[in-house]
Amino acid sequence: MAAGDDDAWRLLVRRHVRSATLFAAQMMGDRDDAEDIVQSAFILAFERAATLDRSRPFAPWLFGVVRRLAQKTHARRARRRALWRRWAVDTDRGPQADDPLDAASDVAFVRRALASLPRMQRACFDLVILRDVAVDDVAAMYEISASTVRQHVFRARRDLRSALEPVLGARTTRWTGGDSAG
Amino acid sequence: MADLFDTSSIPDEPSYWDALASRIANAAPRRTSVVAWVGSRQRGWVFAAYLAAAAAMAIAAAMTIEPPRRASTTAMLAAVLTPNDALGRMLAGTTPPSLTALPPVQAPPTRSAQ
Repeated sequence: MAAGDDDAWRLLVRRHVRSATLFAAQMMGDRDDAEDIVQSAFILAFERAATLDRSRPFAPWLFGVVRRLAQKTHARRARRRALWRRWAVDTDRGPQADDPLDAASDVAFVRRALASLPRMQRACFDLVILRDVAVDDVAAMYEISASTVRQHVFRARRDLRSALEPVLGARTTRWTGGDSAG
Repeated sequence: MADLFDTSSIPDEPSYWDALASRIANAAPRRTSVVAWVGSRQRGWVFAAYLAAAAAMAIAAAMTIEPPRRASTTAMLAAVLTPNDALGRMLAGTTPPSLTALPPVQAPPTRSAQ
């Protein structure tokens, strides 16, 4: 990429765009915001291609940039909201715990149960189990160890089983990923 | 850290990721080419450096002229402000005059004398 190889650049983007966008989506809660942040992060990588340390993996660096960009965006919007607090309706509702439109569906049950989990359990379960993102990538995103990610996933599964079993019965094994190792 | 959201808003389909990756891959070289163009204009940087050097020389030249003018202005002001009588010149000196050189002080007339 540093030598201007277009194919290498496109391959790099295609390889990491999914995990970076899912991470950005977890932080922003909005698809457009996530895409904008990921694009900014990759542009930064392109501009600094010559100075990046090639001995270190690219994904953790990219996730760090995504995280900082998301935090800056949140801070900027929080300042803006503080100015309009009297008049604006807060539309940052976070995880949608109660959506009456699909109240009868299994997905709604799982989402409600997911929303009730602690935030890191929810995030790790979403990425590792529902989105099949590598445990090491999730560890790099949140700057925690891989074993911590697995613990979060394990506890999320356990809590989800407890929450969903009375309602869904045997189907809970499908939604919680069964007993397979993380 | 702010709350974390679920990723359900992201369509997990190969076509979506291909399109997004392509858009991002095309965007980066276009934007950085503008930055590279500006940075490559070395003539602009050299010209700016010459301007800065010329400005510095002009300021230095102005500062070398300043002291004599300031000294002549000071002397002019001193000549204008110095009193032209003997007592005034004595009091305006840099050292205080001796008491014997000062004229005697006359007491003001009293009310009874009026």
